[in-house]
Amino acid sequence: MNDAIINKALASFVPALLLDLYGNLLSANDKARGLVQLPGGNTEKVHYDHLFGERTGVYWGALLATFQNGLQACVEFAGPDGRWTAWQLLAQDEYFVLLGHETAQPDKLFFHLPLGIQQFSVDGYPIKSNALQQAIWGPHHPIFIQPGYNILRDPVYRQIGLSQLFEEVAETGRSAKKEILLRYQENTVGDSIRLSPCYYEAIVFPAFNHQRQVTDLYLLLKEVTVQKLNLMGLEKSARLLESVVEHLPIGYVQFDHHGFMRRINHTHREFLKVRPGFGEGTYNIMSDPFARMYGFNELFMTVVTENKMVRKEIEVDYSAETIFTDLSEVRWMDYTLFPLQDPVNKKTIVVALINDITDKKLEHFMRTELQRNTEQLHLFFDAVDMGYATLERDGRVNFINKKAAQMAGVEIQPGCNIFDIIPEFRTPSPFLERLAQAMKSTVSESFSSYFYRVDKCYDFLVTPMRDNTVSVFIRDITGSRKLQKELHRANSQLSKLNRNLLNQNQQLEDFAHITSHNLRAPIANLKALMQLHNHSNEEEEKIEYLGMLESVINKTDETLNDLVNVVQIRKETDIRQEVISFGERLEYVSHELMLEVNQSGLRITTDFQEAPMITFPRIYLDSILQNLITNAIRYRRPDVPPTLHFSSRKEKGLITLTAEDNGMGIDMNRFGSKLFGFRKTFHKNADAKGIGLFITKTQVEAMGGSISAESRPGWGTKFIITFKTE
Amino acid sequence: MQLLNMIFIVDDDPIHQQIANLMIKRQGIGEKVKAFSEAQDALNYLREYIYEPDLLPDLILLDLNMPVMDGWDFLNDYAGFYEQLPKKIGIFVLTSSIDDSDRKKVDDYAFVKGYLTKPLSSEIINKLQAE
Repeated sequence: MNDAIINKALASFVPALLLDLYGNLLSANDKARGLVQLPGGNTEKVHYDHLFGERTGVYWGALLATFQNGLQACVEFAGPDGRWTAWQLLAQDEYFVLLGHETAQPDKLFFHLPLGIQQFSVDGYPIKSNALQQAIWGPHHPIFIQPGYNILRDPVYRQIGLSQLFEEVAETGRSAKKEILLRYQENTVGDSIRLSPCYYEAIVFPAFNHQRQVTDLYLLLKEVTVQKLNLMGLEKSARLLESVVEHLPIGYVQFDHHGFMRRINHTHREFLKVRPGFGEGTYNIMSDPFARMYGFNELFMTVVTENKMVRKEIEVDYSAETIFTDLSEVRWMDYTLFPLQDPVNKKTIVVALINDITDKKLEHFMRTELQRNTEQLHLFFDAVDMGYATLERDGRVNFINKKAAQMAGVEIQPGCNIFDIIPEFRTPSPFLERLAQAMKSTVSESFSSYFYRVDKCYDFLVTPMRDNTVSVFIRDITGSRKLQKELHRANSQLSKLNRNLLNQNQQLEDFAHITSHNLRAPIANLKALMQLHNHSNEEEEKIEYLGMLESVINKTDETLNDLVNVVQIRKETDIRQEVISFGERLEYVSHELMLEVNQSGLRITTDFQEAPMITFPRIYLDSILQNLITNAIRYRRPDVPPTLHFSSRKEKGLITLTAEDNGMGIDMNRFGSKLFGFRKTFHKNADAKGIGLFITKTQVEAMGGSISAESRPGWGTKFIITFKTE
Repeated sequence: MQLLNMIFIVDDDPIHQQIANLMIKRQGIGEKVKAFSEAQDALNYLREYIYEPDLLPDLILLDLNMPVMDGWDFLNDYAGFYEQLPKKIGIFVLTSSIDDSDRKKVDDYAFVKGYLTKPLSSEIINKLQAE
């Protein structure tokens, strides 16, 4: 029959196309050419897929496979005039013929369905699909181009369960659906290609014949990627929320409207050391004795009835609860209960957030204690009669007691910097330097300083503390300093008195020595002469002795007069002193001794430029100058013209007078210790009485000064007088 | 009693020299009395006649407190050469000083026979004679 049909068709009674085994078009009659719009009427190099496959989604391979499987191999599509033609594949020897016949648009719905739809045989071979379905699969999907493709055997679709969906529907005769990750879509983002999944809802439903036998299976594909991704996002969020609740750093317990615990998070389970078997749904906050003991049932009721949040800190002794927890400790807990509405049944649920604040409470307690101690310490430091302050190393004040603030004389608040607030500290001073040094030091340092502004003397002890601050202790030592000064003054006076006493003692000793040597000698002579006189019977002898007695008496008188002079000088320590000129006094004395000076040829030179004036008793200075000039004349060398040079200097606040002659000089090794002695002479000079230098020394020392000499025999002598200055 | 050949008086006080001279002669303890006002002159004499024992004194009465060279200087100098002297010379310190320190200091000089305090009296001269 086929042969007849084909022959008839090819004779142009019906539209017919002749194809080889590979789908290549061999020839077409005119009717067929018009329907398939064969370009230029040329059949060379035209393939079935171009004419039909691209239009219908049923490619040559699939069509041929259907045919070879003994099924009806048919494709339908609308021609240029809108009329639908169904093309059935028939075999003719080694060739194939497609015969077309006009249909009454029975599959119009199929092709215009706004969903992807595809017809499969019961055993899984694709028959036809609409354009949307073709777009979903893609033109190069094996389902269209692979000959003999069977969806039941596709390993990919078996893996995702699509194949099984077909089998289920074929077997049960009921439609079934499944969400499948059908493919990945390539999206070009910049230089890279990103793959995004495409989710579809696959619905497979059966078509029956009159015997209620499944004849065909239809696959509907609907893209649900957006919905799926949204759902996945929601699921992810839900899981995240779940995880967050479970691992919140605080306890989370959820109760239903009736007080049954519906959820307890991991944190709180761990904290309570919840015993195995204790679970949600059995514990009720309203009836649990332990909860009631701490009033949790009332808190719950408040939240439910007043629909408000409550918060309470409770000290809980978990050792009283033996049913659900092994935590046998007393803990401070912070409970926050708030209401939520169940999104499903709209009833109020209560969530309790539970935080262990034991450490915080302890810290608070410790801080309170610390604060109390600090306050007590501050009260103590305010009570002590000593300035106390704690400072940062840069001078910032942490604490200052009342006494220290009072001692500073300015208001000092904690937080301010002492270097800014105390004016004395702004300018560099030895005190500031010592304070800054002590502030940097690692050991305690103490120093005292006087504060002009408050007229006080303070003693500072700066001690470095472990926390890198410094403690400063300040003691008012003004009183003791004054006492010290007075003591010092008394000491000075005592020392002066002592020196005077020593001096007087020395003078007494000197005087005893003088009397022993210089007064006893004439007395002894008198005694001897008297003995001689008394034992003599000769008148002449007696007269001679009396003459000698007179001589001794005169000499004794002279000695006594000298001693009286000396005593007078030593006694007159308060003799009037006046500001006198060395130059003027020397001129006066030189004039007095003019005769001796001229006779000796003594040349006197002076240099009083550096210290021209001196405060000294005038008669003493005249006497000193006279003795020095007399000495220079008396002990001059006969072979050289005598010279005497006076000069005055000011050294270390002291005025010195130097008299340097070019006379005979003295052997200081032999006579140095006796040079200024009473009645000491060192040269065979008839005029020498050994009293001048003694008097000079007495006068200088009586006024608190000193005299020394440097000399070499044959070179001259240099006398150096140092005057005490007021 | 042996009569001393020569007695030296070393003293700067001329009155004392005269008194001593008179007393020595009156007591008749020495033939010759030689007085020196300067200690240095006495030392010079001793050195000059060091090998002539007849010209050297048997006794020296030495004052301590003298100008230029005092009794101590004399003793220090004398200590340097007295062992070379051909005869022993008795040296007595005759001073107006009653200072204990002087008395003790004299003990340092082994060749000084005694410490006498002025005035020179017949008792002292008798004592000298006995020595």
